[in-house]
Amino acid sequence: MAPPGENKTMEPFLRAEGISKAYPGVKALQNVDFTINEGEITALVGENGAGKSTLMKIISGSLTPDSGVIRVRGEEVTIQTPRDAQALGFSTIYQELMLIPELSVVENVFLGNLLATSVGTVDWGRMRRETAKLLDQLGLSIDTGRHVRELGVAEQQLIEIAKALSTRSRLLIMDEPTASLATEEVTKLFEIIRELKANWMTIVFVTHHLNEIFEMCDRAVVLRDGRIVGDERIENLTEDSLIQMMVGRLLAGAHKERRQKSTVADDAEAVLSVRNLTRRPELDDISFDLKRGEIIGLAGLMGAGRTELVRCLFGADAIHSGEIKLRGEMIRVTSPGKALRAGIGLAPEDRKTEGLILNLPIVENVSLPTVHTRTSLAGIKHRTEHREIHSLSERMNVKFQSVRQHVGSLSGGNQQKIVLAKLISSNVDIYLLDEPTRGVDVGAKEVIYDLVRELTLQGAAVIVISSVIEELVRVCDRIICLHLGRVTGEFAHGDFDLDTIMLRAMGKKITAAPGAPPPDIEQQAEPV
Amino acid sequence: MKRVAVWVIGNMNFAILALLIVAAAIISSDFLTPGNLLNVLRAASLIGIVAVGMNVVMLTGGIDLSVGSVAAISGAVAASMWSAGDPVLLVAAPLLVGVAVGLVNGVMVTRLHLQPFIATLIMMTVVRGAGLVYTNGQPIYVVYPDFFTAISNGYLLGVPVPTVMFLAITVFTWYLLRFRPFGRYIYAIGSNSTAAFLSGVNVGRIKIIAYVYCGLLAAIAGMVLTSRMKSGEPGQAGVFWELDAIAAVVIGGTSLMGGKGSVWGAFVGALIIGIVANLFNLLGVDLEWQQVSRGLIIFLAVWIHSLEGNERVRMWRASA
Repeated sequence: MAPPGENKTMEPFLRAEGISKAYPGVKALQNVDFTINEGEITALVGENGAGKSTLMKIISGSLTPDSGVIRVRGEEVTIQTPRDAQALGFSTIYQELMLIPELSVVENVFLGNLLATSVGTVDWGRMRRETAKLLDQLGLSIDTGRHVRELGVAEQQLIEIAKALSTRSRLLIMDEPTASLATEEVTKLFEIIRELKANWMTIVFVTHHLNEIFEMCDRAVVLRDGRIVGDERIENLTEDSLIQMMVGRLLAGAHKERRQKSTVADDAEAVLSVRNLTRRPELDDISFDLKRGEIIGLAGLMGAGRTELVRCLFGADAIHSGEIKLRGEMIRVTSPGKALRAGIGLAPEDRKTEGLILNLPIVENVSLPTVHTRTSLAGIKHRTEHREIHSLSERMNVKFQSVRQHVGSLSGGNQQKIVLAKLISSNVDIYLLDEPTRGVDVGAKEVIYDLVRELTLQGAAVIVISSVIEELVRVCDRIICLHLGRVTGEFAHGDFDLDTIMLRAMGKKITAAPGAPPPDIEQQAEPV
Repeated sequence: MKRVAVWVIGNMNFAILALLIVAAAIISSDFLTPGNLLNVLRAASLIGIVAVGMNVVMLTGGIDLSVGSVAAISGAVAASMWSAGDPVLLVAAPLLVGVAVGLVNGVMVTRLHLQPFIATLIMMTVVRGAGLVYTNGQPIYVVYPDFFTAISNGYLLGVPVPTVMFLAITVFTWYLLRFRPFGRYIYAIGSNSTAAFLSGVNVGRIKIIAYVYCGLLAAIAGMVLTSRMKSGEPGQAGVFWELDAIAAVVIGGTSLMGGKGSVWGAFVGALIIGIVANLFNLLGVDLEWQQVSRGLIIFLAVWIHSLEGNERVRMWRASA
């Protein structure tokens, strides 16, 4: 195989020509030409709903295009099923990992391609050896007989990569591979990807994170509204030009500087006081106050207890000890229903499986917590319900055709807005937002944070979880770091420092006096 | 023309029903006589009432195998209450038994986290056995008061009372599902119970109500049956009703996974089963072959409903 760029006249590894695909009411892809060069990492970027997933699904055989051809090294190929794609050496790692939790690592790696002995029985020995070899190559030291459900997301992702390697894939498509990884895990994943690239693996990287594109990729292809609007080598791009291509306009304040000053009054009342909240084993002795108009950010790694904390405050999980005061009064939130009635709302981490009911219309999703209040003796007042939710959705700039439209047909950012609309129409004044911008494109992220700021100006208080600490620094009044279920740091708006916050979130503390370089870092004793 | 076709796909149930009626009328000249049609309606009503309750449970993603046993025990209880000469208990006791069984089903599913299939399978055998224990294994023959015989033999404006009940129950259930928050919750739970829970829906309570409602309707059907047979038959009554009801619901297009379907599906499904059985009887088809063809009909109906989810059909509809 020739290294990339050695022979400019050589056919690209893959060329998709004139690909079109339409769904009812939507042209997902329109006459798209897309090339992937051998041995390169190609970034496929675009806002949600731009057509990235559709294009990837066509290449990996889970969708067939309405028109267009795909050539591999110049030869036309037909990809009708995922098996066809596999036979061509294409592997796809979806955001929702496709492993079977109840099977072992070996079984997952060789799923669909079991090795046989000469007498036709399953050759477990050889499969175990090969799996161990692949895992070793990926720097993963786990027992190949373990069930996949016992593994963390990052490890599972590596198993997917091992699976791709076991089928001798030449093209690896990764759909937002870093979406659910912590910073350290991302670093490790990137090392592995670089190594794969060094071994002439061709990689397509679907991502929202601009820094990843500049760090990892050779070329960026930008999709917008089902068309290719940009195809540039990374050297020729800047963050601004890339964003501009993605959203098709200059974003006012895409890089909005963080607020100069916290807008929370010092003497603002504490609307939510949490004292010694404990839920074993996830949460240990957590205390803090949330003030009216305040945005608190929760920073931490996966498993730090951030999601568990907001779920406890929302009554979705029980707490073992500790107390919660709402506007000075002790409350016991034992169910989400009670929390909502008390004015506490949660936008859950996974909006597709927890936040929304995708096959139900916008109107039914938004009014689910409040439908009993929209009912007279004769029944649900459908007309006022429609009208109110229609105008709420319009006010929130949701891109929709009708409130009868299924939520599943909206893009990620718009879905997140529907989740928020549900909380807003429930009249809550404490918002718990768990990763509200995950899987949401750049433009919609700003819109969501603008909305959150607006809510606080109207007196709401917000707790927001994000794995992107830069985001927290930009929008929050205060940041609390959690590590292994304990508060490991609290920072007021004036003291925000990215590195310190990051270290605290990783459970490390700085012992040297502030400002004395280099800071001496030591591992904090972990709770026993 | 295309509009018509699109309507047909959107209202597959009524289209199939209409087609079946036309076909039946062509095949057998006896079919479209008023007397025969009333027979069909009357016969379909019992399973129909049970199917409506089953439909509600199945919309939550559950299933209720205990309906046949509930119908049997409700008939036995009615007969024994009237033997004791109590007209209030004659009506109230069977209904209470149905509600109680539904409550136990619901509690097992929501509090003990048994799978609906298992929980209601347990109640199916327990309740069937309990009915036999209650009557010492013997049918109870009774002469019911007039008002009670009327629920099976009577007519209201020329329509058999069981049919009136079936229609009324269907309309009422449709109202519950379409116009009450309860209905929203049922569909939400069946589609995604986690998201429903996190939206403040009291998932456990709504599921329990669904099983109670299903038990109640099964008990009502059991009372109509005992009224017609003039006896309480704890062993014979309602055998295989759960399967007939599930068949009706499935023919009507409600998904076993929950969240999708309408009570009118169960209504039409019960009528379709009734019409086909009637047609076979008119034509003198053997009972064995009737069984075989009923399977085929379920297959056909499910296949036709699967078209609704077909990508090409959906696109074609959207383009119209």
